[in-house]
Amino acid sequence: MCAFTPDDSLLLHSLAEGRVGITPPWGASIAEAAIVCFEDQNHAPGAMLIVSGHAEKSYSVLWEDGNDQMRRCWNDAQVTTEHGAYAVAVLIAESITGLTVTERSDKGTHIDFWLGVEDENMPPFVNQARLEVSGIRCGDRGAIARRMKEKLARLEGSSNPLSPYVIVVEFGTPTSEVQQK
Amino acid sequence: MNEIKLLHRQAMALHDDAALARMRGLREESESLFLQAYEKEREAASLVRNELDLEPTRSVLFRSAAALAMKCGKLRDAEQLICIGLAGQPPHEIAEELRDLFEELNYHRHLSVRGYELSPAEFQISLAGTEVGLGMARTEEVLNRIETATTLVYRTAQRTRGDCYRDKVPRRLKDELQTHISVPRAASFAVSFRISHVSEGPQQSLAGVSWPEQIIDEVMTCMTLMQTGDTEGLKHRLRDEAYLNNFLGLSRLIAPDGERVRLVGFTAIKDGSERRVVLEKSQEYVRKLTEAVVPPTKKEQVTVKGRLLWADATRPMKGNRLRVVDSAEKQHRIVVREGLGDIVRSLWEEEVTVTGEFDGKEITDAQIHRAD
Repeated sequence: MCAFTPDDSLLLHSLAEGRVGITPPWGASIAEAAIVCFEDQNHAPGAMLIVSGHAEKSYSVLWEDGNDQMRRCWNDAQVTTEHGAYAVAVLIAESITGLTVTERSDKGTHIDFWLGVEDENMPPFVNQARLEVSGIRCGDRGAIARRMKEKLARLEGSSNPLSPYVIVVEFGTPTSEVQQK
Repeated sequence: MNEIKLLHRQAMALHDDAALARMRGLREESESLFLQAYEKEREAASLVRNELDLEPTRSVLFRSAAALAMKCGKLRDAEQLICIGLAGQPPHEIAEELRDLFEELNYHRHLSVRGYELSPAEFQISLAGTEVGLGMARTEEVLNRIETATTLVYRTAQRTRGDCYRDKVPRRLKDELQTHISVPRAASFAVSFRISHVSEGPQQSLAGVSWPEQIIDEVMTCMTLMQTGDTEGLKHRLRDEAYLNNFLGLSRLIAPDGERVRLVGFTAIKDGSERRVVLEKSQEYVRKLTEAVVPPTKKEQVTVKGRLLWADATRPMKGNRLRVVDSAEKQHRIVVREGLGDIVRSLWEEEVTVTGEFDGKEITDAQIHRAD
């Protein structure tokens, strides 16, 4: 039983509805990856996720039970952790910033997320804040801090007028750290 | 403007479909969808090619198109798209990402051995990552991997010859089978290994294939199985659990850490053609794979972290006994799994993480690795 009441809920299945910059199938897919990660770490729907850093909040993470098909599909631990982190980070970013994912792009091994308010007349990626995401399946505070440091270092010298957000998601505790560069 | 947005979103939707098809094992469908995604993204990028002030739109679209071109194997297209992206006024971080992509592109080009002809008894290891430059790399990242790869060669030699696993590679084998490395080449950072069989013997050739060639072929095959997560293939190939533990432990030391070294590539020659394996997955992936291949016992597992400061291999029948001293100066007694002696030696005095079952006195059946 949780020792305290969460501030809010993160509904993984809501990603299946898609977002401006997330197609419904891909949203459903990353939500599945997150479910596999949470259940791999013996968490059940309603698990408490603590967010620290730029925002201090606690969330109850809700999902429908995972199944063997999901686990077979998401059998690459590294890819699953990364995609699961995308799902959780998108929901946290929406909750904290009030913005949503308006665009994504491919940057090779990772996905590049952009947060903003949809304006059909603006070119893509303009007046939007980047969202950098990183996932750890199970790690201590030190591992999260090191990952955050690496991500922030990558954004050193950023000339984007809107400060980027970095979210590291750890599924073991579970916990997440949010920083705005 | 809507046309750019429309094309980009179509590209992303096709990208998603391609990624989902790949996860379902629909390779041809995935490749076709990635190609369509690339074409849409390239079209979107081409619409802003001359809009030098339209940033970050211009550089992000060119970077995304280049990344998709690489996924489609269109390396020349990717090279051109990266250069066009960099030729504008990209924001600092996007410019850095375009350069990273260019580095990755070059890495794939460097996997092909140029200006040096590998013999069938040689293989090349190449590295790429933030600690690796053109022909220069951080010493420990290179030397540790070279040493580990050498051990892997000897262990593979013992196994392919049918020898029982021994905790230390015998001196006699090192005399019989000598390994040599080349001067490094500026191909990201690459060195080649040559294996020489210096004495005649029954293992010299099998169906016209020399023993060094057999060893290299076996190393490449096992690395491929590891990279593709083929647990059954690995168990079938490395039947002896000590060799299996040893291979996975050594592979983890060679694998990329994800940032300092992002890619480790092996290139060899087989039947006159280049054979390549690129390790893109991290040491953490190898740890998870090890758990899948050699699952821990059902007993409760404990994990301790500390410095490896004591080891005793004088009683081989009782396993490698270690002591790890944690930050509170507490000593933990540990017995590692058979086959991990090579890994223990490479971690001497390092900060390590040990996971195994605690029987009230010591941690047994333990896995050991360098602490994150």
